[in-house]
Amino acid sequence: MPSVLLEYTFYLALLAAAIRIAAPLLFAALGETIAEWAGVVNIGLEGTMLMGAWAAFMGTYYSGSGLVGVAAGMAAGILLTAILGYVCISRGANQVIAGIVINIFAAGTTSLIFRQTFRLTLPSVSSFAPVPIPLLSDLPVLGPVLFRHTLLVYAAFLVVPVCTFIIYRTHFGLCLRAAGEHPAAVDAAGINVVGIRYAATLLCGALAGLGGAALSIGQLNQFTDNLTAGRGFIALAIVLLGRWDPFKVMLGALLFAGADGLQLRLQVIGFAIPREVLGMIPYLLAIFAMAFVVGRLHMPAAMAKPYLRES
Amino acid sequence: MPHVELLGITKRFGSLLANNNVTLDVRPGEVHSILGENGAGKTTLMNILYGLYRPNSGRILLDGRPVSIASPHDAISLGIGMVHQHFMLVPTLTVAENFAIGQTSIFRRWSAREFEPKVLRAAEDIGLPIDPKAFVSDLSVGQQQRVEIVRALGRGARLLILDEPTAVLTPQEARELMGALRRLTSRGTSIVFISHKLKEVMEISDRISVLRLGAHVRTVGVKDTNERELALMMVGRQELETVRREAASVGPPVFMVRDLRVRDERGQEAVRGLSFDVHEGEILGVAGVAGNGQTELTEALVGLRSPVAGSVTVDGRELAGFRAGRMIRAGIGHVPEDRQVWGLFPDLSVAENLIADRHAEAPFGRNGFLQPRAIQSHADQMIQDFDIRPAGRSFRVGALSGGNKQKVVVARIFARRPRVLVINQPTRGLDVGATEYIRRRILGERSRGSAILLISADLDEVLALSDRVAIMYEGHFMAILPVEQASTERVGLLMAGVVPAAAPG
Amino acid sequence: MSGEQRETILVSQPVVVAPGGGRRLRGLLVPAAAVLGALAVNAVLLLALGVSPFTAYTSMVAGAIGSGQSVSDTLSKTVPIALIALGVGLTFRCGLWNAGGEGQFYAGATGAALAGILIDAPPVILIPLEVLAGVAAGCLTALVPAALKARYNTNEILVTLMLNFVPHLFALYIIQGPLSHGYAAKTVDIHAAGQLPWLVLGGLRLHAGLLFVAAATLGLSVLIERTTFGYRIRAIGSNVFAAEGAGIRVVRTQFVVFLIAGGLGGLSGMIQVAALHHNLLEGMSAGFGFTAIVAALLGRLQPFGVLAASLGFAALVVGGDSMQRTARIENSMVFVIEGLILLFLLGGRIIGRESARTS
Repeated sequence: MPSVLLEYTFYLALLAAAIRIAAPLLFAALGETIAEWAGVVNIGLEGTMLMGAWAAFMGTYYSGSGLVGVAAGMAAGILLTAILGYVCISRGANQVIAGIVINIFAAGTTSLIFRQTFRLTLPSVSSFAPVPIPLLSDLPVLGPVLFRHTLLVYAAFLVVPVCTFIIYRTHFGLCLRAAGEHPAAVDAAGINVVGIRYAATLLCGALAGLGGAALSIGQLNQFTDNLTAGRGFIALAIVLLGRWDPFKVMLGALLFAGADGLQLRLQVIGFAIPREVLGMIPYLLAIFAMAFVVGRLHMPAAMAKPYLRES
Repeated sequence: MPHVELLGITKRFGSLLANNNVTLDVRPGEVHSILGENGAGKTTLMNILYGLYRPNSGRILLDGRPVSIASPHDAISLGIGMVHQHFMLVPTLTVAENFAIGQTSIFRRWSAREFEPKVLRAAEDIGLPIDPKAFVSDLSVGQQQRVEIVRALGRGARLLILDEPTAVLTPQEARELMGALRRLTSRGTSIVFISHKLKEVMEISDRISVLRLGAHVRTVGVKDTNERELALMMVGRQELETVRREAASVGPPVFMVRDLRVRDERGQEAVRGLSFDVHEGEILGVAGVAGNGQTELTEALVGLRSPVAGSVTVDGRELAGFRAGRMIRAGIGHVPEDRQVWGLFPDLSVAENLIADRHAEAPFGRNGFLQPRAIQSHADQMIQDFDIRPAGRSFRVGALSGGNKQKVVVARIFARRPRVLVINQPTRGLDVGATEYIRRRILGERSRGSAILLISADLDEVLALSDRVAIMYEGHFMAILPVEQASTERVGLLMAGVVPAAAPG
Repeated sequence: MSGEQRETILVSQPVVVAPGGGRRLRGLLVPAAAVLGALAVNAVLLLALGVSPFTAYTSMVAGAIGSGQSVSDTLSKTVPIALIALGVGLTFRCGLWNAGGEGQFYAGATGAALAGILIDAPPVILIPLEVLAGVAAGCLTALVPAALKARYNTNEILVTLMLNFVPHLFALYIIQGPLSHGYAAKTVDIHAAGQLPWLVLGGLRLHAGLLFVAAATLGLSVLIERTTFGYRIRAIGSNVFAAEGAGIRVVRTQFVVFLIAGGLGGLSGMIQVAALHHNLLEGMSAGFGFTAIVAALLGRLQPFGVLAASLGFAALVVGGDSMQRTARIENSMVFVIEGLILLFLLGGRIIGRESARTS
């Protein structure tokens, strides 16, 4: 057992890493939470994140500005979920199939344009430096761990209370929850169910795109094929684990980010287990969580069912 | 000046003509009933008035002016409210939250503190008390209906449409509802009352419009007509056939249930220690408002849900807790409550549906292979016997009409000649012709000697077919009466959980 | 699964839309329009990238069917796609969402490669062992979601999607680790005795795996339409509640079906190792698992339809590879076209339509 594992500094660094790694997952999971409350399941979250990551990278690379990249990432996410929304909400297609198709399309498109543009070179950007918060970042022990992150990371965690507010305290959130549970009732009350679902879907796209941006230009500073490597699917699992509550979703994101951070560090210090096997940890954790923790859920009753008035 | 006029309304769903050039009007402050059997187009017409459907042709006038109602939002702003047959309430939210949906701008904050007093005020105004903090899923059906009514009126409805409101109420609750409606009309609210029940329509209406097969037959004042005339208008036949039950030749008890306890999805006891026998050749009817444990009872008896305690025996063989396949082989047949969900395979053919529970047995399945010829000849015979239309064994069952679908289900179950039948809501959503047919076949099984448990929320059906009547309330049988002693009054009280003081001699 | 378990179903079952009689013409016209639409949209994208769509498409077609070699390549590429798609189609037919084809493929490939490298035996023993290893590895991979579904009714979509990464990583470990070739990202070769032979037929060099595909297609066709087991699969896929009510053992049947699909996926990987690569290679699967899902849906979950769709996608993939070699256009374009075709089909309500429930 390497001695470094016994020192508390290892775990402090791990916590900092977890916060950093959680940001992309958190954005995507929060977006999905909103969508699922309204009854829309976005299996294409992986593809949406990927597209956002790619767009953010291209935007930052060509403009030199991280902000442009973020905007591009969000726009790409919105565009992709708009397609999903149209196909599922307006045309009544099965949400799972549409999601899988979105993933295929996004993987192909991002790879095609990226490789066609850059061929075999591996460009990188760096536009998001950590921004220490004055005073708080100088606190002993936890200061550097919690308050020396990039703006994107702070933003991810700030979105948590914003989502909580929207879902539970606004009329929009009320209609959202009702639409996912009993869309006919919402329709009969005079609210446009289709509009609510579209809004939820596009919000999911914006946040997922933001998550992708946080990954490519906020964390890894590059883009490659399949950059997201299943993070979108893990985000889906996090939403279920967090039972659609933004705060619990945040805890779930930190858990997975921590596991990912841990396995990366174990690879670096040369832990006995082969690194590919260590790399399996996040996925196995998600499967384990799905099986044994998710259990009996009361999920929105109209989940994944198209709402058609004249049926 | 009429309050609302519907002129020449026509509505098609694909090849189905649901409303055929319907014209009628509602006067201010009147109770106008729309009477017709299942499938006559009553709900479709009112859904058009409420903006859920758009008509293919026709116009709507409100206070003499033409209006366009493209969505419920428009209807609500025009002062039209509707209480649907299946409630439009979100069960996981509170009363106040349900109230609030659509009541403020989408971008505003929502708070319980703002809406709870509004709910209380509206309820007081109308004289129907409700609790704004309660979750809808915890309310009884009657209370939920009250919420719907208060909500519609709270939005300023001057015209209130009620779709089959008494279908889920006990007779006493129905009377309370009538009282509330009369209070409303005395204040100038117009009411449209959709129903297929003659008695209550005669009781409450000022005028009655009869619909049949999508067309408007006639509108009469209640004083100018009687039940028999209305029935003839509804059904369009000179002679009404009523299903007659002959005297029973009842044998020994075959199906015996003792101390049955079943939990529902939320882990609460839905069936609380039920004991009863059903004899060979008799029908034991179970009356009661839906939601008192009937579903869980059925599921436990046919192997779809494990009881937590109790015994279920057929001819002395213990079967409690076994799964469906075992129950079927032991001679229990199940005609399910919701044929779409539990009884049919929409993508398979009629022939394949008919052998679903016997597909692996001879002659339909041998050595793991299906025997097409045996399956086909069986199907042909069943189609002829039960008059299933269209008469093609390879038609997809999903394309058949409601009545024919139920015939397929019933044909499949009855073909096995089950010793025991557990039948739940057999004629729900069927037109009169199909209803009569199914009821006749059920009586046929009774004559053959099957022991039948008939569960139905339609009290008339239970009273017409049963030899003995049990009344189910909150998981108990309040009483088991011979049908001759089961008056509507007495059963109604029992359905509401009230034990009548002294049984008339 | 009784009323108690109804709540934990995440999404409805995959839909089987049986084609109606009179809709045959429309059934051909709209997919054709979808393909054309996809090619058109993709052409716009290519132009924006400064690439000639004409060059791209002609080199694709030439690469797919332009010569005897092309046709052979296309037929060979059909094998892995079709085998996975047949398995996936079977699970969809039974009401299960199985997105684990990719993982099952890699598991089977790894298992077969290990057998082929580590065991020295004559072909008559080694090849069946490889088949066994591949199929078993695939089954084992499918066992996880199957068992979780059977025991805990865990939603299989997410489990299979995430499980895809595990066998892939394990394969990478084998490739980088003890059996590494040393220089390239692949393992040492399997013994010559473990290699599947090729057939030469009228100028075409054909894959021995085609025999497996033919057998699987025929076998599944008979299974689904003619056997009582197949009846149960179709009944469950049509209405899982009614199946339960009719006494069908839903959990048991779905479990077995899942394992069959896993076995087919593993077999697919095994054949790629034994007939084509002769070792375990990084990036062996060009997204076969997901292409297979799409092929299964386009083939309407009927074995012969699935085979035909797999052939179509194989042509696309082979054409794309050839296009990359000759015209230097990235072959990820193939996925763009795949995605667009499917989006048009979904929007045109040809596939993936929820069956409407009335009266």
